[in-house]
Amino acid sequence: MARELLMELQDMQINYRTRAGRINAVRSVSMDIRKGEIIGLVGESGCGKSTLAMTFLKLIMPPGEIVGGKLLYYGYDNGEGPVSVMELQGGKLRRYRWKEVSMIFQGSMNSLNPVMRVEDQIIDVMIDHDFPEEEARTNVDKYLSMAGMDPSTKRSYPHQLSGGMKQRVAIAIALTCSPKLIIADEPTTALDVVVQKQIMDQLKGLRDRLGVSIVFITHDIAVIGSLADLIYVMYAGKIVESGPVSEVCNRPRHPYTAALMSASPTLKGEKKRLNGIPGSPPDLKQTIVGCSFAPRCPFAFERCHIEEPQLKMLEPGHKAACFKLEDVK
Amino acid sequence: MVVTIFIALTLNFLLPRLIPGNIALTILFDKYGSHLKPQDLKLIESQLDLHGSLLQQYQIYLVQVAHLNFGYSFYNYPESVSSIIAQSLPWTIFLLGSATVISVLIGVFYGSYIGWKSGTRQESFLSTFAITLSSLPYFWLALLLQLFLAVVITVDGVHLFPVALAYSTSVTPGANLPFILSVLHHLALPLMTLVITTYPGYALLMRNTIVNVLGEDYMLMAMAKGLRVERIRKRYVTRNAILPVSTSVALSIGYIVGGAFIVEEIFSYPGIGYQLYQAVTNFDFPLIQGIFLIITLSVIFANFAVDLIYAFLDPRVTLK
Repeated sequence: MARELLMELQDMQINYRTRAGRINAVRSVSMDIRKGEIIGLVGESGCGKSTLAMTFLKLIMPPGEIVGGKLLYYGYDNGEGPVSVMELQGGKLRRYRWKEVSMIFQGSMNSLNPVMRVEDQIIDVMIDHDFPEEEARTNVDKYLSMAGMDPSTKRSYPHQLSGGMKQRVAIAIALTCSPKLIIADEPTTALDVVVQKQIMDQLKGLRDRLGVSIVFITHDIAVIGSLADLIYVMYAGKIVESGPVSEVCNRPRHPYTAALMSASPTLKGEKKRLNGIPGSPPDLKQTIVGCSFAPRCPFAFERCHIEEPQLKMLEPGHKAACFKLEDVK
Repeated sequence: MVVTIFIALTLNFLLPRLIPGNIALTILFDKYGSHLKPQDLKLIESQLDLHGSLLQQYQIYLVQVAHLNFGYSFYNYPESVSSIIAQSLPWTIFLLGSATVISVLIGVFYGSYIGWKSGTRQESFLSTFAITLSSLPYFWLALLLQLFLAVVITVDGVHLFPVALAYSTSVTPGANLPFILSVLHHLALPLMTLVITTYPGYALLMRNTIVNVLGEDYMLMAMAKGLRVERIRKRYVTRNAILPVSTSVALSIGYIVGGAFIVEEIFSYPGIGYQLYQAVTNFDFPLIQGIFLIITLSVIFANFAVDLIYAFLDPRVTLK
């Protein structure tokens, strides 16, 4: 049941130029996003996942710079083949943003304009994407209720809403132009678990009803286990393991994924000790020699410190980058 | 606000009276000297309400203030303080009002422009220029402008601008064209001085708030939303950046009434600032007291207006 390809990220490399030197935030990441698929992107703070999220909307701005790779969008059904997002400019770029790919930002608390009513922030984006004002106005209620909000809140200003409500408004705004892909960058991080669950269910429901693809970015692998179809595990700017949720969560192959899994508690099953991952991620300003996880990896051996492992197909759809796995073969 | 006004009134009453000696009589003696007779003194004392205990004087003062009667000017006796203020207030409001409007307009546009360009070489040049202008002492600039544009430089033997006063003595005040032109001609130099020294302040404030707003999360979201640049500028950037600027503008309205002390003095512009300067040099306490009161009241009212305007501009602020 191969779904249709929507977005293809090839070998993306993004740097930040700082006074202290160049930071390699994203080091060669490839990812396929198919229609109606929910992809979970997991990684700890500073691993480059938010930077990667910005790429989908071409929002990387100085001091960030894309130094290599391609982003191909297949969503335009005009028979002209994929569009390179990095080459979009001016009006084309403006129309691509939100109409094709929209985003729920990390910390939606601050991503709403404080001096505009909720409804106006829904209407303005629709008008600027060529919907008639009449239609935009009548659809406000629809989008708010899709995001699980009471439509009567549309007259509110952001400061009158709670954190969870603002998050829902952000989701409602993300839906406005019926995008084909929604990037959700840690949309539930600042919320309590009950609201978190509700919002996850909302997103899942939207995928089921609207067939929209979602890239869900989080640092909490337990959160996306129930939501995503595919998981990409990112470490130090690289994908270290990817595959279907059931595979990756139940049989993590990369030591980092395994460590992430054992660092989060399960509701069911036997009680076990939670283990943190000792050490801290590598400094991305430095050129990393060998496997980036090697200094923290309990299984690391000599080769890991010298050579960099590449992603290797283990089973159909399940990839990991680790020398240990090659030896097993 | 009522309490504030009351405290201001009381201080205004007490401060001149804390000065030792019967200054009113000293001044009058200076002016009329040996012509003063004891019975005249009594008469003048009662005219100036300087008799009785402090509490009695305070009572009379409050009643008078309630009737907008601020007593008589010592120096311009028997002219009343109210009439002097009434004559000079329109000139001050005219000069400072137009200067404020023009400064704000130039400042906001200039500041928006350099705010948007922040980080470029053009921006750092224009910012430095604004900082330089705003740090010019305005009395120095006033003297320079007066010297060069009204005295030194002539075109066909005619000076570009008049040296002083609010209108030429050769025109008759009224709604006639020569008078209006003369007023505008006389307004030019003091106006230039004020605008050149005040607009950079607004510009820099606007620039800073714009730079702050551009760094906000909702700006990134506005970009991501694919909104038209025009809309982002108006509804997202300017709308948010205007808030601190509007506070600063509204507060400055309070000071419009106070006049521009030194500029008015340099150009002998017959506004409140000029009168205050004259009053201070002549120890004209009732006039000083009257002018201070007007300034205090307008600052208090401007503050009140700021609160109202802010509640209107910023939905996060509500009036209780």
